[in-house]
Amino acid sequence: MSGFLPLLRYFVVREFRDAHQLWSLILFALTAVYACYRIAQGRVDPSAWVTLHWVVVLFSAFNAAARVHADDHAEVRTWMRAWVSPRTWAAARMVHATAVLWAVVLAVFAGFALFLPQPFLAHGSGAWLAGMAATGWALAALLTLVSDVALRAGGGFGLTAVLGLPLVVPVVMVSTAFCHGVARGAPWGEVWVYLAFLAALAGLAHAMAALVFPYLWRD
Amino acid sequence: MKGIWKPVGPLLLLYVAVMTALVPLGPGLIECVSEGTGTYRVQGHGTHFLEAQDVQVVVRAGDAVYPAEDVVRQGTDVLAFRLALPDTLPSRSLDLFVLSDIDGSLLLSNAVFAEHHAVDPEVAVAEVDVPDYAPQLGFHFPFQPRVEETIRNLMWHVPLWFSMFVLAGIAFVASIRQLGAAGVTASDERARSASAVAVGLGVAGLITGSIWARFTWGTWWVDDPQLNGALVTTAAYAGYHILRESVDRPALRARLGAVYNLFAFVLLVILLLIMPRFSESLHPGKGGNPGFNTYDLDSSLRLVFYPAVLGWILTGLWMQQLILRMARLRERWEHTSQGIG
Repeated sequence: MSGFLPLLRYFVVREFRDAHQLWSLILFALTAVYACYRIAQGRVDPSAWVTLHWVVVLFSAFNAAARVHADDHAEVRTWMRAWVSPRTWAAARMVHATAVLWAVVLAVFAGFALFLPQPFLAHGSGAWLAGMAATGWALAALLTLVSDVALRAGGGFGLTAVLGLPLVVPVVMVSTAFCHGVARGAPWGEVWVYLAFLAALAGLAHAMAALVFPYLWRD
Repeated sequence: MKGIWKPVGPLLLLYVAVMTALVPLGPGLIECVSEGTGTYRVQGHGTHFLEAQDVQVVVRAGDAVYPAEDVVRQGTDVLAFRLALPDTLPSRSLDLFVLSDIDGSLLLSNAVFAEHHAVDPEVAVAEVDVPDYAPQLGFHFPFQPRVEETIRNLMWHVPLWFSMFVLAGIAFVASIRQLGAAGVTASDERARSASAVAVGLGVAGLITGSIWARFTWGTWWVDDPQLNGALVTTAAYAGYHILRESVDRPALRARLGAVYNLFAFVLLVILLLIMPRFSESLHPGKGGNPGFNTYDLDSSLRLVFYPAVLGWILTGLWMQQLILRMARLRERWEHTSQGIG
């Protein structure tokens, strides 16, 4: 994994240099939250709240995954291949994507807490954020893989969505089960297994990335 | 002699089709309706109440058995009877048994609810002599409450998924081999053809499942992890073909397709084999529900179900071979045309 930290630093520096990209993701997410607030006319039950929250998170995640970075261009990647292995690149890109998605998820959560506050958030915010962190990790890992496949195929957001939506369904199913559990006040002992499952799915995505990225990078 | 197995699949499916259409369903009880003043009417299915020499009705609460009186055979599958129950019962919910020298012992669980009776689990009950009739029936499929005649769909719906798993497994192995090779190899086309048949079988499995759900669960689609997993897995395999069509360069197409095929197979394992074990499901054998085997260890179903599984797998493999051969012929024809041009 030599080159991991410099590459991650490069991703972070580039993210701050092109900060408008991250802000546009957050703006999209917050606008979507506000649209939900207007559609729901300020009142939603916990189940609908979880659903709306999830739809916004999912679309924001696909938005984040479909971004085209400088190193996605063939000529930059050819140059990059000289000093970093595909596995290192995949690991750094996944960590970077996870950090970006956590920022977006946090913005979505803050937006929902502001516009559509729910009583269960008073005692379940920590669990909720833990769930969203695990979800963000799993989603970012999977969508990094899928977006790279779509990019190599010459497709954009559409192909990423077609290829990615089926693959993220296990994450959606487990995470929504966790979220509904938190919303109805289920004890921690009942819902922690979902977090473990999400972490396992994220770990599986990392393992798959380590296996397949060398093939994706081959010309 | 090499391809002698190819007609075996369709022949087995022909046998399955004939058996599914012609084998009668065994007798069973569908419902028991109270007609007031202690009289009840019980509706059977495939029963032989008129032809039987002896038909008796008893109800059971806990370990206590109470015989019914005035049993009247109103038709070959309709019985009327009267119950004179004591004031105190071990339980208010009673199971109904119809005992016949042709149909054997037929059970309808929780058929009668004695809401105005007192309950004492220790109440003393007189012994009742219940005949132990062995059924005198020909070859038949077992009667399952609610499932009833739709059990015939077992021979189509479930083997379609088994066959899909086999084809998806072939595509998975072929994709791994393609990834390990340089350039486009025969494994790429093998993976594509196996995935194409897998999608077809998946769609057929979804349609037969939806029809089955409509007649047993009352709706075309339910929020069940097995159903959702099946739909999403089929969508993933369809996505594999969309991905392939999006790429022009054969080598890149083979490599990206192989990578995505690995994801699709892992998704299949997670969604259809792992996740339904951890959540509630209406499917037999899932979410704590007993599988069909639990009911029918020695049943006639196996004589048709196992050939159906083998038949669908062999037919799926044959279809895959046909698609593979068509692709090779097309490729050869294109090469020849270019040569002539």
